[in-house]
Amino acid sequence: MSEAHSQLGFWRRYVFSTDHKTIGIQYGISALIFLFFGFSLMMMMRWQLAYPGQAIPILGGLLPDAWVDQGAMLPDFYNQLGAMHGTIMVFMGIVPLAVGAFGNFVVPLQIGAPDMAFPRLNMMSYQAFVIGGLVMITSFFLPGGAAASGWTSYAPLADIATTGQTFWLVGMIFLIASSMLGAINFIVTIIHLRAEGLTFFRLPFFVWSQLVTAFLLLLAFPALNAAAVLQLMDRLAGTSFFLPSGLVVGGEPAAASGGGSPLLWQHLFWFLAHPEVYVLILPGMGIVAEVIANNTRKPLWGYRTMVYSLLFLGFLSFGVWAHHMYLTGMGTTMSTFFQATTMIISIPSVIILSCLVISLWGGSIRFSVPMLFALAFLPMFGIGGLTGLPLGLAAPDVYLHDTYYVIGHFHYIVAPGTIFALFAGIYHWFPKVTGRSMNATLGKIHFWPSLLLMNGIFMPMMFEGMAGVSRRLFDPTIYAHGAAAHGLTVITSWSAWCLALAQIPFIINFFWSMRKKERAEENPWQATTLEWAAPTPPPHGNFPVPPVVYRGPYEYSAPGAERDFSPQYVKQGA
Amino acid sequence: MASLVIPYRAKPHPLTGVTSGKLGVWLFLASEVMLFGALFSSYVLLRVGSAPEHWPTGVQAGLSVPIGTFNTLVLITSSVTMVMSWASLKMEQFGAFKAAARALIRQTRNHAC
Repeated sequence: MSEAHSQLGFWRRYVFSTDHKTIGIQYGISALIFLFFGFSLMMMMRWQLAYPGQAIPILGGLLPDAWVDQGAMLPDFYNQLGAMHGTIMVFMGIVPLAVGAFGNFVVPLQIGAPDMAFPRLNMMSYQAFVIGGLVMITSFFLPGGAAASGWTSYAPLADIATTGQTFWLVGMIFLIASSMLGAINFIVTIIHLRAEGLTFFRLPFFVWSQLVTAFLLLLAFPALNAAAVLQLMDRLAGTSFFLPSGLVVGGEPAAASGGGSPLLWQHLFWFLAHPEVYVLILPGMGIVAEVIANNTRKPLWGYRTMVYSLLFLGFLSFGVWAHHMYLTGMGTTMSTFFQATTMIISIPSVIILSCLVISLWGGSIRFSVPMLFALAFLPMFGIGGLTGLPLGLAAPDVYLHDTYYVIGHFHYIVAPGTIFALFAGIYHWFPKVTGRSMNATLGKIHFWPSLLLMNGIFMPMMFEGMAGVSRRLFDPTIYAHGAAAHGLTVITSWSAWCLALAQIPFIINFFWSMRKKERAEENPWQATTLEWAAPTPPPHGNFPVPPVVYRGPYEYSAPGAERDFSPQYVKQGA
Repeated sequence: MASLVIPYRAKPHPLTGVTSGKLGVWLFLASEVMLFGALFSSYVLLRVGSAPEHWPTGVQAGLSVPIGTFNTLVLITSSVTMVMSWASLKMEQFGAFKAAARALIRQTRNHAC
């Protein structure tokens, strides 16, 4: 099998590959580049917020006049940065890294499959993602710039925005196509291609999280697809699905027939975007579960409970979307319903988090670098989750809605939450992908400042929000309460720039470890799951002999066993 | 690459009773249900939300009964020819399959025009 693969030319092997591992690496590299790009956009925004109206150092002189005035950021450009930071981070950074990269690389290995069920579909999924990403990025160079209506693209503002919004919608349709192809592939692969003996309750928790994530992607994204097509029609074909009657733009009545509903856009958008939030966090939880079980050297506490909670979470995530819309005037009956479902959905999340915390109890913990990131994930996700409760209740949300508190809340979940989980995954599976281990000292130099600075960014935002500072403001200091909270903004900004510096050890570690001569052991973490049964790096087709599974995923420190781990693929209690 | 064998391409999986391809298409259809669900519910919301006198109907909305009838006819006959071509494939009557498939392509082309 591997000979047949090595005969392929460069293009078929690295660019138009149908091998799930190559596609996973492609996704991973693209997503890391997009993440860095999205982070850079935010760093420019942080300059404007900390030092409003001052020239951006270094970059200010290089940017075109459409974006800056003598080096100082223009408001329109700030809006573009804000909208594109959100879009890039969510749809082109975290989801492709969590699902596209880790899902593609790890899931077929963990279930003992030779590849994904539809390898060519897998390749097309990646290509659609790249096209969508390029469309998004090129929109910066249009006259009028990129989309500037927020990552939520609320109508009617987005309906009448510049051409960048059209590109945003077209790019979005490509990204949706990509995730739909990927989701179908994941579900069929997990259901059909599990190795002999790998029953559903022997699946590693990471595979479960990918399965639920795939269902969310499959069933939630079409709503945004429909909404994007309708908004495109509004913008290009003169319809008014989202344009209300009597709309006035810049003092002039808008040239639209009206009768549309801006609220309709919000319903369709959040019907996607709330499940999307779980798409962001579930793979992260899956990675953390793997890393914690491996590094505590004991089985996950309450594995079945976690799986049932996960399924319930996935199911219920389709019934909470309107908690983003308490202030839209949709009515108190609706608000009451959605705050009830929102409170209910916090229960399975808390169960999963509690199980992960209890899993630490009595373990002989190895404080490896992936474990540090996984351990940090727990309190960070906890803070993010608990600060969400006041937002989920309609009454406190009246005050907190659209303030920096919201930004702080969801960034606690996705930044020191999911991104830390993804770092844990990179450190954990790097030896599988490259056959080399990452340096632990550099890893710790990466971890500790990152943890500190992540809190330095998002904790002040919470206080700023509670002081009433609205998000998306170009210059909050024009208001007295904004000026009073300005010190917090400066702390946030400096933390953000230092966080960028704190990633340098990671980047060095990543490339340096890839090139070093010394090979890692076959199973460096002494893990039990199937991916470590394959040769490293796995050849095309993964397993020379299809593996057979004899036991559950996390049999660490089994009584009577010779070693403290009993791999799924080894027959005897060994 | 051709040597890589992915199981359950041709024979059904014992758990689901279908091949991978068929399961994939069912999942795709589930996704489509959500897409059209979103479109239909948008229609319902906009129509219910508008005053009856403002909602254009029939000829007023630019609709034509003859064209609509013709469209429906083409749609129905294309699904009939689709089923016929599938059935003749199943019975291994390739001549009949070709005839039906040709008719299907013609219908599709007519509909697209």
